[in-house]
Parts: sequence; C-alpha cells; structure tokens
Amino acid sequence: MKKLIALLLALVMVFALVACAKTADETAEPAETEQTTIKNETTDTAAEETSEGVKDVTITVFHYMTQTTKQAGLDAVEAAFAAEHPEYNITWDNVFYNQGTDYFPQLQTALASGDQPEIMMGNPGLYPDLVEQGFVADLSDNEVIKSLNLPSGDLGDASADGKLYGFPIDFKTWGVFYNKAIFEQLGISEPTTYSDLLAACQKISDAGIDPWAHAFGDAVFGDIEMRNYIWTKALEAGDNDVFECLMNGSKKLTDYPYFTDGLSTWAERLAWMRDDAMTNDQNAALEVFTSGQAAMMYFGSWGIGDLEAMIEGSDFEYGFFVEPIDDDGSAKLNVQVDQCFMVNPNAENYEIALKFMEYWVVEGGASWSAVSLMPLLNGSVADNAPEIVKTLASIKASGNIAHYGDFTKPFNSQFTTDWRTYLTAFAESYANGSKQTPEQCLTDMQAKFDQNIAEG
Amino acid sequence: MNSKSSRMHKRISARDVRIHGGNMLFLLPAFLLFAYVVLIPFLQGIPYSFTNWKSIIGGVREFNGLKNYAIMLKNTYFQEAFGHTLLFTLIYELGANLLGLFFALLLFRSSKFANICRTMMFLPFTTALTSAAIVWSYVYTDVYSVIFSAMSPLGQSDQVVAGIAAIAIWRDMGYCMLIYIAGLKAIPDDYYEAATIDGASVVQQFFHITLPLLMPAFTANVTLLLAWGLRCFDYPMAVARNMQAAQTSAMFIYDYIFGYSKAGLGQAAAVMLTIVLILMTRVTTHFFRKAEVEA
Repeated sequence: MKKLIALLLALVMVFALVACAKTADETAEPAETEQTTIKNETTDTAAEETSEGVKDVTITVFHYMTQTTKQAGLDAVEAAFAAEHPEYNITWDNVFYNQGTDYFPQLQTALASGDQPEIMMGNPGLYPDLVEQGFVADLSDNEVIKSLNLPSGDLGDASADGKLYGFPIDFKTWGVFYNKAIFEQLGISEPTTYSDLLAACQKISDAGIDPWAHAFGDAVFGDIEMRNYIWTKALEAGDNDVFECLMNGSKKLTDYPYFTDGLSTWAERLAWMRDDAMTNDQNAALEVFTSGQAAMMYFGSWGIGDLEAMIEGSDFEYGFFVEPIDDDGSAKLNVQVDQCFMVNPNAENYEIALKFMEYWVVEGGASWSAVSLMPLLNGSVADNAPEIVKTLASIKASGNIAHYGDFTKPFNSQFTTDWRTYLTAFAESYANGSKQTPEQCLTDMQAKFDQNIAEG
Repeated sequence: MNSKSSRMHKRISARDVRIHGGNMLFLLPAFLLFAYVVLIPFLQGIPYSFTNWKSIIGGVREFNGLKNYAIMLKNTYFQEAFGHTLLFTLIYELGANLLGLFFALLLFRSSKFANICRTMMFLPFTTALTSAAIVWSYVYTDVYSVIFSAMSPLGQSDQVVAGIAAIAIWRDMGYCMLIYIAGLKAIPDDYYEAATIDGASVVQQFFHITLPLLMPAFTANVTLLLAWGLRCFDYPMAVARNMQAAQTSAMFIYDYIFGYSKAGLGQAAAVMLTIVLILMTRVTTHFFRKAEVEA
C-alpha cells in the first residue's frame, strides 16, 4: 500500500513538472523588469480598446541604464508622454541589464524566443545583427529627427551603413575629475599640457596623496583613458575609417603611429597606481575619489548624477578638465551619443513607440535632462544640472570636439572586448611592475584581431 | 556460455520489473527536468555546430561540415581558456576535497560543538556563486590587501585563477565535508577496534581503513567537483570579466554564441567541451570505482 502511494506521488510530481514547464513557457518574463503603469488600472495585454475608447497598450523598453538617476529619468519621460496622450492607457515594461555583461545576450535571447520589444537601447553601429535581421526601423526619413539639425557626428552614432536607425538623446564625454580642495591646497591649477599633468601627479604624490583613483575592474576604463588620445589623433589625421580598416584587416595597429604613442603617453600616467586599481569598479573608485584618498579620477559624464548623489550633503567639490594629450594643446573634448534608442517595426505597438521616441527627442528632453542631469545633444541642459554639465554642453555646442560618430564604423563587440582586454593587461603590467612595452601590447592585440578576422 | 553472459541473459522477472520500474519512476521527475532544461536543448544545438550560423536572432545557417571544429581546435585563445579551466578545476578539486576531508575528520563525531561547526562550514554552500564571488572581491581588496600589503589576486593575471579557485573552495568544501562525514559514519567501529588491538597506529588506521572505505565518498565528490569545475562560469564572470587570464572555456563559448555572433563556432566549442567533460568524468569515476572496497 505504501509503495502504491509512493508511486502515485511520483506520478503526481511528473505531471506537475510537465504542467509547470508549460506554464513557465507561457508566462516567462525577463529577470530584471521594472513595470510602471501610468494612469488607470491596466491589463497586461497589448493594444486592447476599452469601453471608454482608451486603448490599453504595453510598451517594452530594453535598456542598459543601470544608474538610478537615468532610470528615474526614463520614468519621468514616460510619465510626461502618458500625460500628453490620454487616449492610451500605457503599461511601461522597462527591462534593464548590464551592458558589459548580459544586455545584448538577453536581448538576443528575447528576440530569438519571439518577444518583440518596442524600444531597444543601443547605438545601431554596435548592434549590426539587429539591423541586418530587420528588428530596427529605418529612420532616415524621419521628419522629427531631421528637424533637430544634428551634426554629422551625432547622426553617425545613431546610424549603421549610412542609414539612420536610432533616436539619439544625449551625449557622454570623459576626462579628469579632480578634487578642488586638494588642488587648491597644493597650489595646482588645471593642467593644460601633458607635462603639467605629470608634474601635478608628482606634486600630489609627494604630498602623500594618491594622484589617481582607477577603476580597471570595469573593462571600459582602460578604453576611456586611451580614447582621448586615439580618437583625437585619428580624426586629426583624417583616419575616419581606422576602426573599419582594423576590423577588415586592411590595416594593422602599427600602421597608425598614434596607437604606440598613445600607449607610451598613458604609461607615463600609470606610474601612479594604487593597490586597488585593477579591482576597483566605477563605484569603488568613486568612493576612493570622493573620500579624498585620491586627487583625480578619469571618469565620464554618464555617472555625474550618481556622483552628485554620493556627495550630497558633504562639502566635497570637484572640477573637470579635458585631459591634455601632449604639450601642443591638441586635446579636444571627446563626444559620443550616450542614450540612443532603436524602434522595432515588428513590435505590436510600434507606432506608439515611434511617437514616444519622437516626443522624447523634442518635448521630452527637458523631463529627461532634469532628472538624469544629462546634457542634450543640442547643447541645452536642465537648470538644476551641475555647472560642469552646463560647461560640457557648451563645449559640445561649440563644435570643438572629437566625435565618435565621425568614424565610418565603430569596433564591433568582439574587437571592443579585445581592445579593452589588452588595454587592461597593459595597465596591469604597470600595477605589478612588469611594464609591458607599447609594441608588445599592440603585437598581442593584433594577433587577437588577426584571429577574429580569420574566423570570419 | 560463461557466467557473465548468462547473467546478462537472465530472465527479467515481474518482481524485477516492479522494483526497478518503481525506482525508475522516482527518477523520472528529476530526469524530465534535466532533459527539458539541459539535455534536449544541448542535443538540439549539436547540428548548429556544423553550420556557419552567426547570430542567434536569425540569418543564414549553411552546412559547413567540420570547419568550425577545425577552427576551434587551432584557436590558441580557446586552448588558453581551456588551460585556465583545467588549472581552476585542479586547484578547486584538491582544495575543496582536502579541506572537506580535514574538517570531516575533525567534526564527524556528533557533539553540540561539532554540529554548530558543521552548519557553519556548510553555510557558504547556500550562497549564490556570484554573491560569493562579489563578497570575496571585497575581502581580497579590503582585508587581504591591507593585511599583506599586496594587490588583490583578482587583479593579477598570474594569481587570478588561484584567487577564483579559493572562492570556490570556500563555498564548496562544506559540501564535500558532509559527504565525507556520511562516508565516515558508514565505517563500522569494529575495524578500528580490531586494528587498535593489533597495534595499528592512528596513521596506519587512516591509510588502511579510513581511506579505502571512504572511496565511494571520494568518487562522489571528485566527480561532482570535476563537472562543476570544468564548466566554471559565474565566478570569473562576476569578478574578473576583463582579465584574459581568467577566461574559462564556458565564458569563451558564451561570448562566441551570444556576444560575438559566431554561434556556429561557439556551438562547436561547446560540443568539444562537453565531450572532454564526459571523458574526464568517465575516466575519473572509473579510476575511483576500481579503488572502492566494501565495508
């Protein structure tokens, strides 16, 4: 009898398992979702007309804005759009992942399994598969974007193969953030030449303070420390196709002298590294910087909102300067479109998503900037933004910049990973004292590039 | 007909069917789950390894024979990743098993203190792999670095694999300890009493009684940790993503399939890794099974 009961229980477990598997299939949801329902009670079905003539819609936004200020900014724009459109009862399904690890894999998996998110964050040039497979609407003739009269760089960052596929929202830049109190205390002014910068580092170090807080635990930081040099010099030399040529194998890294020179210049700055330089991520390095343990941090505008939140209530003051790359004053502010969104023509609520994005780049920009503190592409910025953001916006508006969108093609994901990995290894060699030469770094990197190309 | 083949051809009785059928039925839920989540998707993926499939969201999938396998076998970066995986597995196997055995020998006799210690030792096993890795990254930076005035091993190419293995050892040695404790408790005290009367020392008893009779526990632990080690992914993904020296085979495959849109190549690498994993597990199990003795 006991055995019979046990057998029956086992059978029940089997059926339960099969049933659960089926249910899970039907109701599967991505891991990290933030669902916001604007206005009335809604159902989760898309585009259903209610009796009052208000349409229930769900707009799914896939993004990689992990900073809380940006997520709040997205909520603000969504709320503002919903308020402008009482004819829709919108459920916003904001799904976010970390760009460096799982954003694109998760997005691909969702698309491969038949999900059709309305809006997907990303610069189209970095996601050629989405473009090739028809998951991205061609916006080349979009009148709203045309009316913005954006410069070539901004449009280039939102394009792939000469066609516009994205709505560019704002821009990012990077450079040296410094502790004003330490600079004042040591009588250091903002360096304008590379020699000045190295002298400042030495002076800070002599005073017993670490000149730099590094964050090489995040792969992007080696990259952004090198960009100022590479982008500026490449555009100055007219090598707008440098990344394209490196990816198709028609040129080698050593064909461009600024890669070797850039690494040599960077190596001089890497003479001052803390023990935690290789393992700190952005937030850990920011803590080192804001606590006064280090005088400077190479950092980007994308985190200003979080930095402001971190120092709120304290008397910490920071300044910013574009890192000098030589003694000739060649440095320029580097600019790249930061938030950029593609719209999926296969999605159920494509038209409404398109309207939303058109709203965001025009009227919604103010809501976005006021909460995210990001500078908009046209140079405007919210009144409540820190002074530094206003300064960056005005430099961008002046046009004296080096814009990533002016390159014919960006590095694809594999080349980007390799570029960053070998730069991190270069930085590591200065942390552990083995001091790789620029030539060795480029040889290793080129070997990996050659492997990528050979694989097709 | 020899006795072996006669056993093979022995008629299966209704009683055997009842007993084995019942056992099979109990295994069925777990097997179905395993088949649904692991086995079927993997088998479905094998044909893709013979195609030039790029992106998982669509595109051309043309048969290209064994080309992907040839490319991957020659890919030095894949070989390097496999080398890192093997090194990790070796350190992890040795560390978790030796420490697990050490603590099992210390704590296998029941007492209040031993029970508390066992619980504490087992607790890390309940933490998520990525959480363990992230917590340990802070331990390395904020404790290890301060005490030893040295850089975190997670930031150094020549130490990163050992650093990650230490996290895995910390997490899983409690699990190994429990298996060893179960094995130790199954050894009858009579053997030790007889050996003591015969004048055997503690060390002799350990090598001639404990170790041989613990072989089934070794088989379980070594096989399981071998499989876990060879598919190491979460730890380096969480704390050493951009370190070339921490790239494991599983990360390499993940990047190729999902990150780089080289799904056919990634799938070929996955098939090869699975074959290696099966072979190594089989050889290890065979070796330990042969060494097993019955109590």
